[in-house]
Amino acid sequence: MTDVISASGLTRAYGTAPPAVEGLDFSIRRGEIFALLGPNGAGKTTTIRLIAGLIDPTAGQVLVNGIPTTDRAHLQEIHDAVGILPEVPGHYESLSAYRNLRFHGRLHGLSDERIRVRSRELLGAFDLWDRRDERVATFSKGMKQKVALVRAMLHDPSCLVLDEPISGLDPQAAKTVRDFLLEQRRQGTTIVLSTHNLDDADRLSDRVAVIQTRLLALDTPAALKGRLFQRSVAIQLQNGTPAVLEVARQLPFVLHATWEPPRLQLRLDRPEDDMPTAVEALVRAGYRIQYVEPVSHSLEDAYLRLIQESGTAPTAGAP
Amino acid sequence: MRYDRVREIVMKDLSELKANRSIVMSLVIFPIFLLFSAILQVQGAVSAAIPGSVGLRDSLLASTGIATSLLMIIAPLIAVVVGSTGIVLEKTNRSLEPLLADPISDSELLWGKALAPLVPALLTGYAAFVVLFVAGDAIAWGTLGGPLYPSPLALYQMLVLMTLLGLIGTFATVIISSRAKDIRGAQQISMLIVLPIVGVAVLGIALVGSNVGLLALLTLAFALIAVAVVRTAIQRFHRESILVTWQ
Repeated sequence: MTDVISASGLTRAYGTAPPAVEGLDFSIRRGEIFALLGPNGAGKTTTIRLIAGLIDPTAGQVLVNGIPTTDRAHLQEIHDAVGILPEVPGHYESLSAYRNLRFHGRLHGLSDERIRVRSRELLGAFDLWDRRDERVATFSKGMKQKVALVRAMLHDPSCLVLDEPISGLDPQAAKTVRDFLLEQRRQGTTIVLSTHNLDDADRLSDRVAVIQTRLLALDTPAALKGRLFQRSVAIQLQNGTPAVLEVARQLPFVLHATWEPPRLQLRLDRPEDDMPTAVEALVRAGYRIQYVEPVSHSLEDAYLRLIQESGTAPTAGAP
Repeated sequence: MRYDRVREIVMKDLSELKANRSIVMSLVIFPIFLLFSAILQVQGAVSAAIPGSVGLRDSLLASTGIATSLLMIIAPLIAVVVGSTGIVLEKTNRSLEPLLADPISDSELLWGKALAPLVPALLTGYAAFVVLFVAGDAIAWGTLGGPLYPSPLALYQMLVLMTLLGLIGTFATVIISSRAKDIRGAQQISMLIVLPIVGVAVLGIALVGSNVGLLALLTLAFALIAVAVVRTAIQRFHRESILVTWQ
């Protein structure tokens, strides 16, 4: 896969305040969903604005399809390549949904016919085509968010940059948007997602970047979880007692064992290799095993550990 | 600069303006008030005139000079009200970010935002002058035995001086709004700075009367101010500072 977005040493400061983001290095491949995670004030929105070319870096650079976002001579190519959904939809509320779309479409140089075709296709995907002539002010939050997504997609960008696309949506609308994003990825669109919803990030993204002004981690959700937490297995016992810890600790491959009735939890390097021996030892000691399951850690666990290790607790509102 | 993009921004702003009843009302009521005052002045001057006296038209035009000067306030005032409102709407809608994500240059955005208030301001101002010309002629015809308007001075005031004042008002509003941290404050500052300037300018025009030399000097001064204000606006209108300041 080729890189659609590439950031190197990306730094942005506002006035004399400490930088909002500093020294970010990452690249985003074609057709992947890339999530930006971080507490409030971590620099996610600034990063999104930098990627979309809305603001310039104070140091470093972002390349969109190989073009620096600061290159005003290629403004059209950069903005045509990127579709942005800001944190707030930002519609002209007194105008109809279609009038909003036509305005942005024309600024992108689309013909009226093309705007109509794309609007019908995209609004139709959200069941909003029949309501295209209604004023946006009369729309619900979810509908406004969907129209904003349509606006971001209207000019067929190769990269979508979305700031909290699912925030505040009801479960049904959230699922529609999630499905829409996955469909866009299937069609080869690159998606950069800033979110506080770690469950969404875990479900949707191919890779996540955790930032706290600086880049704390960048990996796939699974690798991130695996890197931060050793693998554990929980064994539920029908007749467990604290003495089971002694049996577990005698096994050389057990790194750590805890007993929380009725579950014995073992931390292991290679559960696939070692669990048969562990089960055999427990049965031999007279314990009756009800079931065995791997202990999974969520992306939230990984995120919280990273933020904690960075020395900054998440601020109010952060997950 | 692509003019189709500038036109699109202007058309969108005007569509929004049309939907804002209170602004539309101010566009209508204020000019009507000034127009009514101007017509009353013409009526008063004509009533006091002696029919058939020598140089009657010139003396009537001289005594009704304040009427046409009054109408020159219309364009800059509307430009200030509509101009700062257009910017406020971008702020309250939080629509600036998606707008700046479209492929528009700073100058396209600036001219779009400037022409959107300037066009209705000038059209309203021109319309007010035309109505005064028609009404003034109807009032004075019986006394003069011919038309009072349009006089060369009134046409000059309408087409040159009011247009320059409208430009100054519009671009001054854009500068103030793009630099201000608080948008409501920007509206008030625009009013406080622009309107006294326009008031002094209009008073100057009324005092200068039909003295061609002084009028030319005044026009040159307005033109220089207009060029300075437009250039300052172009230099200071940067998408980034606006985005960061307005949020």
